[in-house]
Amino acid sequence: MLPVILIVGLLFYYFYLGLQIESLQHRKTMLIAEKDKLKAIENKTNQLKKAIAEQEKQKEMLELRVKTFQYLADSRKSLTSKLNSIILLIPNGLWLESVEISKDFVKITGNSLKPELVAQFYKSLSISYKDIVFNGAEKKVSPANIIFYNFTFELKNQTPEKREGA
Amino acid sequence: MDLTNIKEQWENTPVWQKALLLIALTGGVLYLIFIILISPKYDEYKTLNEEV
Repeated sequence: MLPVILIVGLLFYYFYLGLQIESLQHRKTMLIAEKDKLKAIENKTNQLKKAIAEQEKQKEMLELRVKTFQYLADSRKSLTSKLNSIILLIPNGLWLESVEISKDFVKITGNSLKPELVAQFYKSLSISYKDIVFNGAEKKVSPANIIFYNFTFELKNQTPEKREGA
Repeated sequence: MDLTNIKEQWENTPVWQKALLLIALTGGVLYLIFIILISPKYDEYKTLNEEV
């Protein structure tokens, strides 16, 4: 009797193992499906992260552009008023050849029919600028035999009142 | 070995020999069941359990 019980017990154990294996396989299939789902979600998340990073970059670029435009607009305003403050002081008989304007520095090259006009222009500019470098006027003759004086002014340190007025 | 009268031979065999033979046969059958059926199943179960 005992051998039969042992054999039957062993066979039961065999069937029990079969059931356990089936349940584990079912669980494994479910886990694989869940893993695939999570992978898909992870891929989507990564794509969204990339898109967000790209958008952030574009936002930064746009902000930089806006700042640049603002800076240019501001500097244009101040440069325009600076140019006006120089042009309005030009006496008759004096004309400018070139004007280089930056935020803190202005270089004017021009010509005048009389040297007194250069002095007059210098005087007018000295109200607006503290430092004016003037290296003298050079006498020149045009092809039409007209005598004129070429000069260069380097202006620095605009007076505060004038800056505010601008 | 005389196989003509097995029943008679079995009845005449001493009890300890019968028991020994039964034990040996049972052990053999159990071993065969274990090797052929249970061992591969158990290995499969173990592998799956580790995976899950």
